[in-house]
Amino acid sequence: MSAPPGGAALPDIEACEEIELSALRAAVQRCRDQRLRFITITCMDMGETFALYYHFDEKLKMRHLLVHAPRAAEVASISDIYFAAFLVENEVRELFGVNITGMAIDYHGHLLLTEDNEPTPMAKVRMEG
Amino acid sequence: MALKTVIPFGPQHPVLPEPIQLKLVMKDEVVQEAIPHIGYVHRGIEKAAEKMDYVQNVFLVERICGICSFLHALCYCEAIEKLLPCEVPPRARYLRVIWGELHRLQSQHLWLGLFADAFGYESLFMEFWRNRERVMDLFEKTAGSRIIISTCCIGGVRRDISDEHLEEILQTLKEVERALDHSIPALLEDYTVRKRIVGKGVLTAEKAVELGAVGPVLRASGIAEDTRMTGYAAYDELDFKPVVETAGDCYARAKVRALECYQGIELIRQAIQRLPDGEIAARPRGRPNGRVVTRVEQPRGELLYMVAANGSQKLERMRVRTPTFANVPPLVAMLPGCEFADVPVITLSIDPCISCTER
Repeated sequence: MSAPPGGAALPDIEACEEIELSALRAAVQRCRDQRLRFITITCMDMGETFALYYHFDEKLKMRHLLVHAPRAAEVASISDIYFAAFLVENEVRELFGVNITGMAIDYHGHLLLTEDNEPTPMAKVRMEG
Repeated sequence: MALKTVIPFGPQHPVLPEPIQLKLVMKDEVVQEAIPHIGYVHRGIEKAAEKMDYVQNVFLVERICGICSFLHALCYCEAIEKLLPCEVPPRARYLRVIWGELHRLQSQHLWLGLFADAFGYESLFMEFWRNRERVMDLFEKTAGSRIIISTCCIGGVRRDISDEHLEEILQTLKEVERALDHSIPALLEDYTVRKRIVGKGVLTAEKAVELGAVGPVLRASGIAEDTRMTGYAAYDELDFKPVVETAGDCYARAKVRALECYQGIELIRQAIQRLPDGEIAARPRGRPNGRVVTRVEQPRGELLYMVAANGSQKLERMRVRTPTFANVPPLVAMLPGCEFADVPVITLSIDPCISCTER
């Protein structure tokens, strides 16, 4: 069960390890060292925080890392560990407004959105500024 | 001293029916770096799924991609069925395999034709697409529609396949197989074709895992991973072994997809042979509650859905990770070092589906 701040307690996905934001990169590095395949990141807007699921595959078994990032917190990119993460990190930043920094390729908010689009369309609470 | 030039490849290009752009940093005729750009046709379907009823979403997700519409619906329905929970009747599980494999078969034909067209082999393109029409006709007969067949529903399938139509599928598959026997050697054994695809766009097994490759791109690099091995639908009751090649080049990727046509035919035959009698759908009770991740194997590779529900009619979140989205970083790694003339063939070798990517 997971009860993130600002979110309801729901039965969570299986094989999910909840970690602190500060421990994210070290945990991802362990996944890389164990030769896990990076699948993707899922972001959920929980109000006060973003729930970020990092999905990995280990010989067709899934493993997930869950991080709760406060809205204004800086989330370090993992694209120097898993290059494949750069696309989804850009997407998460644009659509939700998660402050992901240090991406291997940074589209500066224009992977999917143009200047005419409203910012962070997937966020339930609009970021200011 | 050679100048570096940036060439925009796409978003409109003769070999790319859908819009993706690769900014190619060139030194003479050799690619130094490739930077992908998407976002030309993004539709916000994940957001739309939060606004609609969880049952209506089945029709929504089918529209993410016409080529693999059934598999999107299947992956989504499996997620909701786990959250309800709801047990799918055995006949429905087998019917899901039959329609799912027919989708794979037509999709691989579509790609084989486009791939032949990418290096100018137009008659082979026509042969594959003519054969594909036989499969499309089966959709029309069994589901009443050729592209978005809408037969998958939460709890099972919406339509049954009659004995007469099952027999027709078996007869048609014999014709499809005969045509493949004729066309595939032209692709894999022709001297000129081999010159264009052998040794091009090599992705090693280590790089494939590191860069998150999926589907035929991963298996062509020697990794025996196919989501069907996890046993969703009725795959756990069928004899199944993934098609694997080791060279990791365009030829290996073409060969995996070509052999997967035969594999799909064999799986459909097994499913028809073992198709049990009984109900085709269970009646779902209650509303989905909780979070779940499901995966199925699309023709292009692993498709992932994460669904978060809170017991209401509407979902908190529906996340879709499509295979082309996963295969873009491997493509970016395949291109540096290749000649400009090989870019279309290498790009097409990941079977890019921008409709899926821009969900």
